[in-house]
Amino acid sequence: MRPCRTDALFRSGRLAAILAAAAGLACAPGARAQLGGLLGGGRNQSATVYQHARIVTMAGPVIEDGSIVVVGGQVRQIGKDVKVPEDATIVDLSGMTVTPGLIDVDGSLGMGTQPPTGPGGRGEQGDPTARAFDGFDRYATDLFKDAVRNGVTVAYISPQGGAGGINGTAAVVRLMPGDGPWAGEVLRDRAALCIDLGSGEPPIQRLQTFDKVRKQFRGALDYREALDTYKEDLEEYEKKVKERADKAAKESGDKGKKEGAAGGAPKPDKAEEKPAVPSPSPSPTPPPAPPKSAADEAVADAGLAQPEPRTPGQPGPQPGGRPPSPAGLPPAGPPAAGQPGDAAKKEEDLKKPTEPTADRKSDVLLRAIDGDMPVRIRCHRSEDILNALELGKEFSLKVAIEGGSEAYLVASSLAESETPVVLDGVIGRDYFRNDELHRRSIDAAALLTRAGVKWHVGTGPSSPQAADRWPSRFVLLSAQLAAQHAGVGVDALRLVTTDAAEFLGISDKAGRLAAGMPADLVVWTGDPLDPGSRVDQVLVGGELLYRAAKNEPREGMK
Amino acid sequence: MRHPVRGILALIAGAVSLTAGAWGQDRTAIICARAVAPDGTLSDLGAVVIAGGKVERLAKADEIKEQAGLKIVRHEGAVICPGLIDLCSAIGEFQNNLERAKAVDPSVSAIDAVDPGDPALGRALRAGITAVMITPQPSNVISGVAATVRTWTAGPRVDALRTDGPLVFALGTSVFSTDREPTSRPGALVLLRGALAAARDGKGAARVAQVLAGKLDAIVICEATEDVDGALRTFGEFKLAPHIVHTADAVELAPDLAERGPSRPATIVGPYTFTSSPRTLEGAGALERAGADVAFTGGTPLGEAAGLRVTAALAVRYGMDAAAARRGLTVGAARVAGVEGRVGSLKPGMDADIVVFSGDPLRLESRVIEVYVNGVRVYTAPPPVGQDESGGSYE
Repeated sequence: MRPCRTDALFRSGRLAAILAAAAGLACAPGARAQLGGLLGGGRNQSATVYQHARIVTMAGPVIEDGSIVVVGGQVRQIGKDVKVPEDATIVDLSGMTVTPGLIDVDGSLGMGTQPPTGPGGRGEQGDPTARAFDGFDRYATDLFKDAVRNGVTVAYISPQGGAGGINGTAAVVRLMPGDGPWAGEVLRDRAALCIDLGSGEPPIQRLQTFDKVRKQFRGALDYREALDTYKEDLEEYEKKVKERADKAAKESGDKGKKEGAAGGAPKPDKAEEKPAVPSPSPSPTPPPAPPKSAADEAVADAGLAQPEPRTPGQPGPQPGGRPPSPAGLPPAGPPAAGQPGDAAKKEEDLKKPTEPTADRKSDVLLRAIDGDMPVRIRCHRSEDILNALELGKEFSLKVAIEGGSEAYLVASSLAESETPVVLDGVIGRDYFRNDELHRRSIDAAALLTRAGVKWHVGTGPSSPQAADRWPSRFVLLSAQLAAQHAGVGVDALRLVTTDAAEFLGISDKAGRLAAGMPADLVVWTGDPLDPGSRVDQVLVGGELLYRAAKNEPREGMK
Repeated sequence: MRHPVRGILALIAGAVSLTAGAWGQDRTAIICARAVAPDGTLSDLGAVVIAGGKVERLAKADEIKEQAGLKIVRHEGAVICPGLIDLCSAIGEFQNNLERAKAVDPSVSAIDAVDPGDPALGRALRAGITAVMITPQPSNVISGVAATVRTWTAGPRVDALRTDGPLVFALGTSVFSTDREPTSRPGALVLLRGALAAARDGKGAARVAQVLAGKLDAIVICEATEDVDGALRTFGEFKLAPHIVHTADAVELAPDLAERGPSRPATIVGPYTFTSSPRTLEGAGALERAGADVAFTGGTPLGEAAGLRVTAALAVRYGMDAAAARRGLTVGAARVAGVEGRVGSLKPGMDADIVVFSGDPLRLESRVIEVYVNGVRVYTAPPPVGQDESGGSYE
C-alpha cells in the first residue's frame, strides 16, 4: 500500500509526510469505492506486509517480531514466519506494538445528545422502531479523530435522550476512511433493543415506566396471539369456503355442466371476493337465503367490514395490560350473536376473519422475545435492576444491564440469572449527589467478579450535563480502571477487544487479529496499557485511517 | 478506616487490616521491583529501608540481607512510590470555607475549616494519596492560606504538615459578586494591586507583606486566559512569581507560564476527566515541553479520589513526559505545597509516607497494595479476586 521499504525511510518525518500525501492520493478512489462495504470485491488486491512488530493478536499468544500480510483489506497471514508475496509492499514496524482496533460496547459516538426520532424526546417515551443509526452523524470528524487516536475503531451506539421506556434499537458502527476524511459504517444494525428504566426519575415515575414497558411486551405477545388466531381462523374459513364452493360447483355441475366449466374454479383466497359467489353466472348461485330485511343486511355488512378495530400492540385502554381474551376475536364459524341459527343462516354468516392491524412496534419486541435480538436495560438503582431481571424472566429476554451503578448490590441475582452487566462511567462519581449514581463504586467490577457476574466496560451514553463530549475514546483507560481491583486474569485489553466483540456478536468482524479477519490494526509506539504509548497509525480494512504526524504526537491525520 | 463507611466501602474495609506498627528503632525494609525516583523515573532501587518513621536508605532489591531487627516486606513486581499529593483540594472542608463578606481576606486559614472525620480523607488514602493541600474556596481575590494535611488521621485532629501557606489568590468569575467588590475583572485587579501596594507601603496585611518580602509563597487560581495575564502582569509589577493554577488555555499560555525566573514557579493543571476536550488535555504536555514545572489537582472530594492518577495518565496520553507526570504527582506537588522537605520523594531523611503500587502509578490498572505513613502501614488493600492472602499466587 505505502511504498515505504526501509525503516529509515518509514521513520523519516518529511518523507513520511510526502508518502502519506501520495498514499492519500492513491487511496482516495479506493476509499471512496469501499464506502459501501468494507470487503467489496475487486479492490486493491496487492499485498502489504507489516514486519518486525510485537503483535498482540488477542487470538493467541503475543507474537514478538511478527509479520502481518494484508491483502484486499483482510489479514491473510499472521505470525513469526509468513510467506511474503511477490511485489508486496513492506512496512517495517520495529519497536511498535500492533493490536486489533478497540471496541466500545456502550457509547454515544456521533450521536450528539438529541434523540434520533421525533417522539422519543426527553420526557416522552421512545419508540421501539427508532434506530440509533438514523441518528448517527457519520461525519462527526473531530470526535472520530479523538476516538481513533486512542485506538478505538468500533463503537456500539444506542438511541439517546429518551426519558424512560423502550427507546429503540442500537447499532454497532465501524469508523472507516470515507469520501470525507472519515465515515462510519454499520457493522451490525439492530444490535440490541434498548430499554431505559429511568433510574434518575422519581420512584413513582420509575414504577410507571416499568409498568409501561411490561405492558408493551405483553401487548406484543397479544399481538402474536391475535395473529396466530387470525391464521387459524383464516385457514378454517378458507377450508369452509372451499367446501361450500365445491358443494356449489357440484350442485351447479348437476344443473348444467357447461356453465360450471365456463365459471372456472372458485378462488376463495381473494380477500374482497364474496366467498359464496363462486361463479359469475347468476343461475347456479347458491340461494341468497330467505328474503332479508335491509337492516339485517346492514348488520351483516357492518360485522364484516369493521370488526372492532384491534391494535393489540397498544392495549392502552385495557386495565392491567391483561391480554384481550381470544373470544374477543370475531368468530369465523359460529353465528353472530342474536342471529337465529337455522342452517341457511349459518351458511350466510360465513365471514372472512379480519387481519389484525400491522404493529411494527410489537414486531420489534417479538424479535427480542424470540431471542433474535439481545436487550439492553439501562438502569442504575438496585430495585430497577431487579425489575429488569424480572422483565427478562417473564418474556425470556436475553438481558444485559447497562449502567449498573448498584449492580454489585444485587450481584447474586445477576449471577443466578447469568445476566451480564455493562459498566459505564467507571469513574465520575460525585459524592455530593444524591441521585441514581450516588452508590456508584470503583470497586463494582471486583464485587461482580467475585460473585461470578460477567461484566463489560463501556464509556456510556453522552450526558447533557457534560460540558463537552468526546465519547468512546477512553474505553481502554476505563477498562484499566475497572481492572484495577477486578482480580487477577482481568486483562483490560481483552475486555475492549475479544470480550467486547463476542458480547456484541461481531467476533467474525472485529476484536482479534487472525487470518481471514478484516485488517483493522492499531499500531502503538509501545504497550497500549502504558499511557506514554501513542497510537502511531490506524488501519481499517487495510486502509490508513489515521497517522500521527511526526514530532507532533497529538496532531495530524490521514 | 477510622470512620464509618457504608456499602461497598464497608465491604472492602472489612478485609482491610490496619497494622499499628511498633514505633521503635526496629527497621523495616519494603522490597519492590522498582521505585519512583525523585526525578520521576522508575529506578531499580526498589527497596526502601525505614527507621524511626523516616526513609533511611534506598537499595536494589537483592542488596537487602536478612538481619536481626530488620523486618522485610516483599512485593514482587511492585513499584514503591512516595505518597501522592493532591493540590487545591476541598477535602474535609467542602462548603465550610466560603467566606463571602470580604474580597480581600488574607487572615483566613483553611485549616480552621477542616473536618478530620470527613470520609473523603479515607477514600483518598485508599487511592494512594497520603497528603492534600487544602485551599480556601477561591471566591475571594485573597482567599487566605492553604494547609497541607495527611489523609491518615489517627487522633481527634488532622495531621497537618503545614498550616501557614501558601497564600491563595484567585481571579475569575468566582470572585465577582453583586453585593461587594469586585464585580468585574478590572475590579479584581484593582483590589489585588491595592492590597499588594498597601503591603509594600507598610499598611497592608501581614501575610501579604510576607509574600512581598519573599517569606511566604503564593499561589494564584486563574480561571481564564485573561486572569492568567492579569496575574502575571500584576505580580510581575511587584517582582513576584507565584504558582499559577490554570487548566483551560494552558496550551496557548505555555510559553508565558514556563519562563518566569529562577524561582521556577509551577503551574497546576486539572482535574482532567474522561470528558475533557483534547485541547485541554494537551495543556500539561505543552507546559512541560515549554519548560514549566507541572503539578496536578485531582478534584477531590468532588470527584473520585482516583481522579488524581487519571489526570496524570491523561496528561501523559496527550503528550506529557511520563517522568514529569510522576514528579507532578509527588515531589512537584510537595514543592507547591511547601512540604518538600518532609514528603514527596524517596530520599534518606524524608518522612516515610509511601505507597506500594502493583505497577507504574501512571498505568490505571495498577492498584494500591499498601500505604505507609511515618513508616507505619496504615492501609492494606484486600487481595484482588483470585489471589490468596499471601499475595503470591496469580493463578
